[in-house]
Amino acid sequence: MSEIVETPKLNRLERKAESMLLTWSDNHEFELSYKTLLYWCPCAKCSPSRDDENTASELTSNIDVILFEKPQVSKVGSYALKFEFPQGCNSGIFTFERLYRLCKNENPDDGKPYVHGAW
Amino acid sequence: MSNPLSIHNPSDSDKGSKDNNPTAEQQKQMEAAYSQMKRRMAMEKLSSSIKHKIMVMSGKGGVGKSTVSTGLALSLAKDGNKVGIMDIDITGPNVPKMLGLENHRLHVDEGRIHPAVGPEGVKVISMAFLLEAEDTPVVWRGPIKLGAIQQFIGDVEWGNLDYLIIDFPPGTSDEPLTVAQSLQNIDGIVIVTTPQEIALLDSRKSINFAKSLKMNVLGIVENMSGYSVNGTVSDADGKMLKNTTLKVNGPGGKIHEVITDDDGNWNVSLDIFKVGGGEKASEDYSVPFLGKIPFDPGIVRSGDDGVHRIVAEPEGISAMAFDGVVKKLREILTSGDSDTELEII
Repeated sequence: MSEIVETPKLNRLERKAESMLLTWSDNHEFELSYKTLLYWCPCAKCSPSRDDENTASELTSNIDVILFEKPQVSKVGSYALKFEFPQGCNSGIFTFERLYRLCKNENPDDGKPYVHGAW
Repeated sequence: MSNPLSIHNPSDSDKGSKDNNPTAEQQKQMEAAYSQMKRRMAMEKLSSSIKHKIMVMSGKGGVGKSTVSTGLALSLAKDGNKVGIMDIDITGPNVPKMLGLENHRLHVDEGRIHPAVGPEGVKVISMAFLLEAEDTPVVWRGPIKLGAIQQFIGDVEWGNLDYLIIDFPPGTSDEPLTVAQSLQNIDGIVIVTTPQEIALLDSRKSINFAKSLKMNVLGIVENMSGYSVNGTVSDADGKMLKNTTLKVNGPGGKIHEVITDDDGNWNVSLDIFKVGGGEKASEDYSVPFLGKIPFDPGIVRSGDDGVHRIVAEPEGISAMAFDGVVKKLREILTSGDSDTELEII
């Protein structure tokens, strides 16, 4: 597991048609597109496809054709969120740290390849 | 590679009969989905019906998690609180035996499981209630355990509780992760450790687990901390000797000097497993130290007899120690930060 980073608290999440506005306790507000969110889905099916150029581009193409609607958002314990879209992968559990890093345009996996079973 | 974004269209396969009635398989899937939905709703309801949810964990086995869980539950219940214990140790469930409920069978009504009721009105749910015999092993892989835990959370009729104590097997894997994901608004984790310095390492894992899941560490309890020996001293005529110095040989040849009181009584605590590991861990990781529970052979006996030490001797050293831990725990819970809830629009 990567080093534990102190992440600001997510105070507000506003769902829009193709993106969401996230307001954090450090008073930063970011707009995160659903396309970006789904590309960085941490589930065991999506994650490995980012490790290879061909499968990563296939993943992008698959996301590009999705007609997005506002997702259902539910809390997972006190550390993550889960998004349910009418189309696309709904398996990923997005920790607040992952969401914050996506907001800041960072690679939430630090460029490391996916290892099955490493939470 | 399979397409992770493929959409399952029920009309493509598993077609029903000609008159569009669902097949038996489809019916089964619908029922499973309905029961899953009901369970999810029940889990959400627990957020409001149970005021405080406390996970009791440790990095390694044999440190007395179940002893601490039952002790906390009984001590809280003695104070007039409504308390429940969820024994998540699927393969080694001990809580019912410790509370004298080992032959209890669960009552199920309209699909809801009613927990057993133990001493001081403490409600208990445990895998032990579902086993044919107490020596029947539970040989389950992770996903099956996960299903059982979700049933314990979602299908049990807890009613309104002030405290739910959740007792885990050692470690930081499937069981605590499933509970942390399924139960909302958990107050935090109580970490049980023993006085040895190696406790530092084990406690650290549990602390980091809590940090990873953005959960509070409510504090560390040091179990098996000191063995209390007492007695009286009298002269040859049976007259009690007051203010007399005695030398007691402790573990490792350490000599303890004790002085008798006005009635000739003396008492000394011997650190048979060293001392201070839990306290040091709490200092090193800046988490609260909740207190020490002394090594008490009566706890072992009461665990076997099914009459908990706190019930058998409510004024005894163990009961007093648990009362101290609970007092500190309640202070921490009431001073907990009142974070604003995430607003989702």
